[in-house]
Amino acid sequence: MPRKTEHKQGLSREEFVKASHNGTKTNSSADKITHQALRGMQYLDTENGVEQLLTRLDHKIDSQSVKNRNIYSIWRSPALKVAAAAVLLLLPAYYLLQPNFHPSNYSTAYFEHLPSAIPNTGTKKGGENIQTEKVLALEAYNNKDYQTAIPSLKRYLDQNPKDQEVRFYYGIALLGQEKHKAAKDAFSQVVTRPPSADYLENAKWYLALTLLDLKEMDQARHLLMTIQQEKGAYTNKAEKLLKAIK
Amino acid sequence: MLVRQKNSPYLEDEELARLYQERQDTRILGLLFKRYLHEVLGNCMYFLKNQHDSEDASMEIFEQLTSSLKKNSAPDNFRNWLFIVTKNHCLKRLRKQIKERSEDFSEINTNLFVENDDLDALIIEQRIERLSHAIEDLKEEQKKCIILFYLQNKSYKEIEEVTPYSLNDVKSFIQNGRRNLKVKLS
Repeated sequence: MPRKTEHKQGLSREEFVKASHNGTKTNSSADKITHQALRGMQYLDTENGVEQLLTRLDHKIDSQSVKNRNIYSIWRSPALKVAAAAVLLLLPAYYLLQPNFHPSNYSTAYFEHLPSAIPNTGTKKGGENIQTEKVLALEAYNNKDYQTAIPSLKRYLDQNPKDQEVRFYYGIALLGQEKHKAAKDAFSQVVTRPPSADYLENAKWYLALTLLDLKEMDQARHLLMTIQQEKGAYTNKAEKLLKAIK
Repeated sequence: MLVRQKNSPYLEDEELARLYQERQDTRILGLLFKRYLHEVLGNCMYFLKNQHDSEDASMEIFEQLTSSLKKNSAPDNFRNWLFIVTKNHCLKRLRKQIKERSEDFSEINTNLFVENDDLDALIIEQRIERLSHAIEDLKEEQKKCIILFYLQNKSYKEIEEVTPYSLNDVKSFIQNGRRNLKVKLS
């Protein structure tokens, strides 16, 4: 995952991708490892660029990590890659344009990963091991590696049940893995006792998506109307979604 | 909206490596490997000069790490250690490719593929590394044709088809490139 180490030389993934777009000769300060890696980018023959290639490899590594090697092999096919990209781009727009929009899974169209906003100064409760668990869990979460993040976040929350910030990200990871009942429970707890107004707004939106997936339409509609009236970051999305589920 | 803080919570590389050894959980190694995946991939591409081989090599290196970190103690500087692992892996791969075309390569350097008691694997790989660097210094058109001919096993005709060069150009670029490599490696 993109990471900037302070004590070692080298570029983070974001910096590397940016540098590779700017050309390989622009990084005179880079060390040998980075310099050679950037020069290697001249052999890139994918149209989608290094970012997509790295994401594909990320998936392969995740897949290999959980001993499920076959899932991502189809991504080798360029035709499938193009088709999948087109579907991903057009899916939300397509649903929104349909007069009778009733997808079986609303979070497919609306779910977005939200990077963790938790700084490196969390609670010290539970000792060093459980803090390590939190750090590990949030790094996996930020990698969108929900399979790794979920058990770690759960272990951490078992020891720190009052940490509603972490519970919020736990909810997103669960929703990302389509574990709707557990996600509903997590978001409901955050909505009841939010760590801040920002979290409340976000938790309500994700809870609404979860309720829709669970076909709890009345509750979902009520929550979406509340979000719409509050005129916050999700107002427009809530409005569109309300029209779509009429 | 929530905004990601600057000081995101991350574990040091060495701590992650130690955790992997402790828990034997490949997902932890995956987190660590992905921190440097861009550099691993880029270096594979630098040595192998081909994207698809480099993708495969990157995954092979990940697999190699799962076992070598289990057996050995965690390195002091993970990034530097990973670079050495990457380089060695690529040179081994190149050595195999070169061996398959030993006849053609003998025109550049007769010692590139010879294996006997006097010339151990390490020396051969050092020579291959020099060859890889030397190819980088060739003129663009020579480099392209040399890579396609020697490393990707393409015929003159096939190179003509995948490049804008004529058959005569291809032959000439390979001949000149070969001569330049010979000078650089002598």
